[in-house]
This record gives sequence, C-alpha cells and structure tokens, in this order.
Amino acid sequence: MAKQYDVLFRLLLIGDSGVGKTCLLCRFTDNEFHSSHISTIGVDFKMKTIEVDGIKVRIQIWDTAGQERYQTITKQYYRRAQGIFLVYDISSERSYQHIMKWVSDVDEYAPEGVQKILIGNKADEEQKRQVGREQGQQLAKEYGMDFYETSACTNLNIKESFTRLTELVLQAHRKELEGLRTRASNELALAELEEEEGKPDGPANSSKTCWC
Amino acid sequence: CKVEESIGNAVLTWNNEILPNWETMWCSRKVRDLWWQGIPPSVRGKVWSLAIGNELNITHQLFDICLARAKEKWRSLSTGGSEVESEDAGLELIKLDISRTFPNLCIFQQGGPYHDMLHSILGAYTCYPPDVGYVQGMSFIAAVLILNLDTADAFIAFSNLLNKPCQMAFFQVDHGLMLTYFAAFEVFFEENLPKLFAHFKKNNLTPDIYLIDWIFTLYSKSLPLDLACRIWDVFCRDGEEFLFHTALGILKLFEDILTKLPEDLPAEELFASIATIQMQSRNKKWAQVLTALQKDSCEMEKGSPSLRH
Repeated sequence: MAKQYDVLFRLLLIGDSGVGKTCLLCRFTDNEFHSSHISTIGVDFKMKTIEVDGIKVRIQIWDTAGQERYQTITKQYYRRAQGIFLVYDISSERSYQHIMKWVSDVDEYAPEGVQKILIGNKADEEQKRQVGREQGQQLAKEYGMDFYETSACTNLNIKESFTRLTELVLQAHRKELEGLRTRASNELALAELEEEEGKPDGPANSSKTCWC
Repeated sequence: CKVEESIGNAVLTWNNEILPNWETMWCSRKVRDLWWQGIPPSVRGKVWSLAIGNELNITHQLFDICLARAKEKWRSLSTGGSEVESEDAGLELIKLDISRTFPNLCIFQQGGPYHDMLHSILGAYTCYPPDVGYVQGMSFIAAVLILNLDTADAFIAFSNLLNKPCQMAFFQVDHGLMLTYFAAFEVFFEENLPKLFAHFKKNNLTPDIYLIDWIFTLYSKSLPLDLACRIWDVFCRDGEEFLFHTALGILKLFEDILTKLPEDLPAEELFASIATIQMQSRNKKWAQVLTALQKDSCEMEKGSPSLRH
C-alpha cells in the first residue's frame, strides 16, 4: 500500500486576465505551450507530484479567471491555499499596477501564513517590455516575497518558481514535517499524522492529506 | 446513405411542417421527439431563435445603435492612452478573449472569418444593458450562436438567452442565487446517483468545481462543439433545467471513471444517459424545487461548503 506522495498542498495562481496563468500551469504540469489559450472560466486545477528535500509533494494547482467580476467566486478558493502565485505580465504596466490589489485580496481572504511569490511572466517579450525587472524586484521586496521573471513560452524559471513556492510552503509547515521525516518509513504513522492534520478545520476539510 | 437520408427528411419536416406552424406545433409530441434527436444544422439557427424568443423586443436597428456606440468607445479607447475606466475594462477584455475563444477552430482569431462578428456582438452587448457588461464565458456563447445565425439575429438570441434567470444569476455572479442552483442540482444528484453523490461529498468535491464552467459556457467549452449544439437544442426547448439534467447525465455516464472527459464522447450514449435521469424528486419538478429553495433563505446556508460565506 505504498503511497504515491507524502503530502498534498494547494497552490493558487492569481493575476489579471491574459497574464499567462494557465500557460504557466500547462508548461509546468504538461510541459506544453500554446500561444493562444482558451480563457479560464471560474476555476480549474491541475496536479503534479514533485520531490523536494526527499519529500514527495503532490501539488494541486488552482488556476483562476482573472476578470474582476469572477472574484466573488475565485476568492472562495483563497482560503484553501497554502501558497499563492501573484502573476503579472512584463509587457503590461496595468497588470503590474494591479498586483497591489491582488495582494490586498490575499490579505483579506487567504489564511494567515500563506506563502506568496511574485511572478513577472512573458519575459521572452523583451521588445514589448513595460515593467523593468528591478520594478518587479522592488515590489516583491516591499511585500517580502520572492520574485521570478518567467516565460511559459521559452520555459524560463517555470520549474524553479513552482519548486520555490513548494519549498516555502514546506518550510512554513516545518513543525508538522519533522514528524513526517522521523516517521517517514512508517506508513501507519504517516496516516495518523495526516488524520491529525485534518482535524483542526473540522469536517469541512475532510481530505486528510492536506494542511488546510 | 441512411443517415443522410434521415437528416434530409428531418430538414424537410422542419422546413415544411414545423417552422410554418411554429406556434401550434412546437410543443407537440412529434416535434419534441424529432427535437430530441438533434436539429439539422441547416435549420438549427431558426429553431433556436424561435425557441429562445425575443422577450426583450430587440430589433436589428437597436443592434446597429448598440454596435455604433461600442465602436465609438473603441475609438476613444485606442486614442485615449493607457488610463482605462473600469467600465471600459470589459471592452479591452473582449479583445483579449476573442482570440481565446475556440482557438483550435482558427475562425475567431484576428484575421479569421468570424472575428469581426464576435467582436461586434460582444461589444454591442456591453452597450445594451449596461448593468451586466462583458463577463468571461460570454464569448463562447456568442461564438456558438454566430456559427448558426446572422450577426444581428445572433445578437438578439444572445441578449435574450443571457436574460434568462439562470444565465442572469451566473453572469452577474449572484453568489446566493448560484448556491441555490447548486443546492437544487444536489437534490437531483443525490436522488439519481446516491453512491456517486456520497463519494463526492466524502471527497469534498462540490458542484461549483465542475458546474461553473459547464453552466457559464453552456457546455460549449467542455464538450465537442457538435455535441454541445445538441445539448443547446434541448436547452432551447426545455430551458435551464436541461443544463442540470445534462450535468447529471454526464456524471452518470462517467460514474466509473470520473477523471476527465474523453475527446470523442458518443452522443447516443450521453443522450441515453440523460434520458434515464429522473427530473422529479419526491413528486417535485425542477422549477418547484428551485422555487422552494429560493424562498427558503435558510436553505442557502446549507449550500456548497466551498462557496459559503
């Protein structure tokens, strides 16, 4: 009865429409890139298992519609996330300006201690660039976030940024993980731990293997 | 070929018998049966238009006026610099979304044959009832209509379709009302597929996760387009209930697998599955259940846990 993974995390992609959230996700999970993607309606998700620090982490990545109108729906998913990607498009000043608004939404609706990183996507579109790399760095610094410029098109920093956010989430849950490491060889103990983790949030979060 | 012959016969029946006598014939048993088998593509647009109706009394002239206003706004947007009012953000979003509507068909993209039509309809709609504006998902609905109707008629059907209670609730993102729809859906889900219902509950899989996409785009995004059109056929006949009816048919069809929808979904099987769904729960029909739930505001508290608050 070997398990396919040790822990499950939920990560969330947010940012304006058209910044490339779905493209980042498809590049990461399927290593595919389509220049013209179908718009996301409401929410969608994909899964991938990666190994970080000897721990098999199953990540469930939630992709959201960027239109403001959908926020009544998408914010419902914030509270289930342990890590959040805030994405803007380096060729759109407006999408960068809006990061402030997205951050304040996260503060309002996401659980305390949620890990965040800032992503400037479409880094391959250098000739259309409206947001300098240092502006991204500056903003990330202000909010105490890590920062990556990525390109789903050329596969720049995709794996790196997803791995980094996963590491941050793992670190944030280090206490629980110590238990996991010392008892990792023991499947039964692991299951018990997961039961414990599931408890504090009550029956609404009955999926055992995640910290919600 | 037999299939071609029967389609040919159906076209004749629709054109010569049903359409000229629409008011008296459309709800007859014979027409309903023929309807269920799929409307032939050549008469589909006409039938949809008639079935959707024009409660809003939109004329071609009104469409022209709305379109002219939209064009005016676009012009001022393109000259007005980067500062865009939030009400005009919708117009920008339309441009972005048009190229992201059925991208694999390559007909709505810039330079494609249907690009301007889609642009016109969505733009005109933002100038029609200004309280709704453009909401993502609408581009798919407009696109399906364009494939079956002329621009002005597609606009009329589009506006009237979005004016229906279920579509209005979703596109206005009326959260409370959406929860009520989900709750009504769950009543029939539990009734028809108790095992799967329990399985979903246990795994915290709430209907919003799959229904939002299906309802917003009327299945046009998730089903193959020709099959989606057949769902639309019956949706035009039976109304919102059929959207939830179809959802249960899909869930039943994939009760064993329930991972992803395969690319080639057999229409016969899906319709057979839909046909076996009971749209009655304790002697109550869909509309009665929905109304009861709407009235009972306390019931809303028990809606999908993930969308609560």
